[in-house]
Formats: sequence, C-alpha cells, structure tokens
Amino acid sequence: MTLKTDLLGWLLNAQVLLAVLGVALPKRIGRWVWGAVLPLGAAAILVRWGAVDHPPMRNLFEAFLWLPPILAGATFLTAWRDKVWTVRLDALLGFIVAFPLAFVFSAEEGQLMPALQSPLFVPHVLGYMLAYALMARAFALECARCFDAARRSFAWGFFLISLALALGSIWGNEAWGAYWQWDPKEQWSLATWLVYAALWHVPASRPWRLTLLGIGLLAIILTVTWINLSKLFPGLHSYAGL
Amino acid sequence: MFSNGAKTVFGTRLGAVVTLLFLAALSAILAFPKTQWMLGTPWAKGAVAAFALVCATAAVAALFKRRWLSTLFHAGAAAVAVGGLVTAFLAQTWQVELVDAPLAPRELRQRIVNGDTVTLKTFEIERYPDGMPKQYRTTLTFPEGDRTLAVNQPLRRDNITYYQMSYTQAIDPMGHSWWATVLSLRYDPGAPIVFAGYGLLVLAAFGLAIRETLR
Repeated sequence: MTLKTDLLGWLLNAQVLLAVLGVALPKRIGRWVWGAVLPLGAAAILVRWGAVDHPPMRNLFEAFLWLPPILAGATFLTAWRDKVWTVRLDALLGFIVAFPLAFVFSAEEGQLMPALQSPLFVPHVLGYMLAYALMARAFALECARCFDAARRSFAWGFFLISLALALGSIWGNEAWGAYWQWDPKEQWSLATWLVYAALWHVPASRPWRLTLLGIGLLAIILTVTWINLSKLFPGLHSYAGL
Repeated sequence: MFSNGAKTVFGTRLGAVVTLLFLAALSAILAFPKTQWMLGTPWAKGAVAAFALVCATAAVAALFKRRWLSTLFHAGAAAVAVGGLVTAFLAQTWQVELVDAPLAPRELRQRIVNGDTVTLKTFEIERYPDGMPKQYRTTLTFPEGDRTLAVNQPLRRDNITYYQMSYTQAIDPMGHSWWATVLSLRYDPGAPIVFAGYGLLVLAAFGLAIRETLR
C-alpha cells in the first residue's frame, strides 16, 4: 500500500474519492460526482499514455486504468437507454477497481516487449476491459433486479468477450506460432466464456441467472488476479515477476 | 421460444447448462501444471470431438426451428472444435536454430525445408535506448530470394509459417560468441477452420447483442 503523489497518482486518488462519494451521496448529486470519473479517468489514461509512449495496456496497472471511466460511461449509457440510474452500484464497482489501481498496483513504467507490438494489442486488451466491466455490471444489475439492463449488459459483454478471445487467439497465432497454447490464462478465459455461454440457455428472470453471472464474475476476478499474479501459473500471460 | 422437446426445467435447457459448466470446470482445472499431462491423452481429443458433435447437432436443430443466430453460433463453435481436432492430428512444429556467424559450418546456418534450401542471411536485434530488446529480425535466403521475418511478423511460404521465437548465443571454437536466431516452423491446416469458426461465432454474438438491445 503506497500513496502515489505525482499527477497520475492524484488523478487516481481523486477517482477513489469520487467513487466513495458516488456511493454515499444522495443519487441526484451522486450521479454528477461519480460521473466526473469519466473525464478524470480519461485524463489519467492520456497522462500515462504520454509518459510511457504506448497505449497504456502493458500490465495490470495500465489495463485497470481503463475500468473506472468505462464504468462511469456505462452509468450514463444505461441512464439514457433504460431510464434507470445505477449510480451507487457502478460507483461501488468503480471503487473496487480504483482502490488497487491507486494504492496497491505498482505504477512502474516499462517498454513494450516485441510480442506486444501488434495491431491486435489494443483491440484485444480494450475488448476484455470493456467486457469485464459489462459483466461485472450485469451481475450487479441482476442483484438490483434491473433485469432488462442486466440482459443488455450481459449480451454486449458476451459479444466483446468472444471477440477479445478470438482476437487473442489470432494474435497468439501471429506472435507465438499457435492459436492455442494451453496457457493458464487462456484456459481460464475459455472457462469464463463457457460459463457465460451457458447463460444463454437460461431464460430471463430465472433465479439461477444470478448464480451463473456470479460464477462468471468470480472466474473473471480469479483470471486477472490469481492466474495473472500467482507463481503457481507460469505462462505467457504471467505478471508474477512484476 | 423453448418449445423444442429438449429436457428443460422452467424453460432452462438443463443439458446445455450442465455440459457447458462441466467443460468450464475442466478448462479451469487444466490450467494447473499438474494436470497438463491430460491434454496429451486420447480422452482430450475425444472430448473435443464430442463437443463438435453436440454443437453441430444443436446448429442443425436450430436451423429447423429457424433460429438463425443460434444456428450461426453453434456452427461456429462446431467449426472451432473441428479445426482444433485437425490441428491436434495434423499440425507439425519444428524448432530451428541458425547461427549468424559467417564461417560457421553449413549445417549451423542452413536447413532443407520441403526440398528447398533455406539459409540464414542476417539476424538483427533492435533495442530501446535503455538496452531492452525492441524487435528482432531474421532475413532468410530462399531459392527465389531474401525474405525477412520478425516477432509478430511471421513469414508464410509453401503452407509453412516461419516464426521468430527468440535468440540465443553460440560459441565458436575460439571462444567468441555469436548470435543464433531461434525460429519455429509450423504447418497447421486446422488454423483457417478455427478462424472461420471464430468469424461465425463473433458475428452471431454481435447479432444476439443487437437483438437484446432492440428488444
């Protein structure tokens, strides 16, 4: 646990604070306080981009930078499309991702290794970040019984998770010489995808939809933490050495 | 919507849910180093073949019920599984090390691939200002001329793909050290089938998302 005190660090600390206020304040004010994460998060991405001179997606710290603004954007999109404000719920998810970003992950800068220099780098990582944010929201929305919004969030999340998995596989075929290598992260991404594929076979508003969305989210969380960071899973996607 | 005679509980296609969750658990377990040996057994290929068959059946069933997106999706999943089997049975990979030393014996600089002589011409390492490798490039001489490959930029020739994997060092009898480029040569007739499957899958998933949005 460290406090980052440079410009980027304060942009992140501010997002944690705004997320907390978004949960705590009355909805009518809270939506604009939480909504401010969108420009702040975008600014954080741009600051990092300028500092490292490549799209900030190289490790968990850089990938997580994208999550709070995506969640804030999704709040407004749902408010516009489904006429419900999901401020508290999104701010809570925003807090859960912004906290490790600001206080746990190391912001050490590094360059892109040759394997990451590909036109598929940005769509693969960004696709997964969008998909993970939407799937986390789908679970939260289902908990809050906003079933229509949950279904839409899940459906777009599933499209993106499929696209990102396919792009990752095609990229692996260009960079590593095979489209599937039985790498631990590949295995868990496939497991996550299969859980969400099962969800298409359960009609709307059935109670076990929530269970499946929960299992899927658990698989996502374990994929980006345990599989990525544990030395138990040496592989092509391992960040355990960081 | 679910009146297809399949075993359902409150509209849930229980068989599909149980099968997919079982496969998800299997996939998660196979991430552990101690279970990797299972991948080499005939059971693994059998499971993929069974999955292909189930998906193909679901695609045909959906076609009869005129559920187009479901047809497309299951056909895509079946194609991915079939492509995976083709790869498992037919793909071949060779690791090749070529030494970038002008006087190195021919067998260290040359290989015969499909009857053609392939010779290492140059190997270059491009670095960032801090010394970290940025890109590495190998130029090979084929009968028709020189061609270059790099990480993320494989070379495709005669159904074989040449990949730049890494590099290492070779020591000559005088104790001098030379770079050796490490290449991987791969023949994989399954890959195009798998990628076609991805296309169908992603297209169907996009259609499903649009359908949910317009609902």
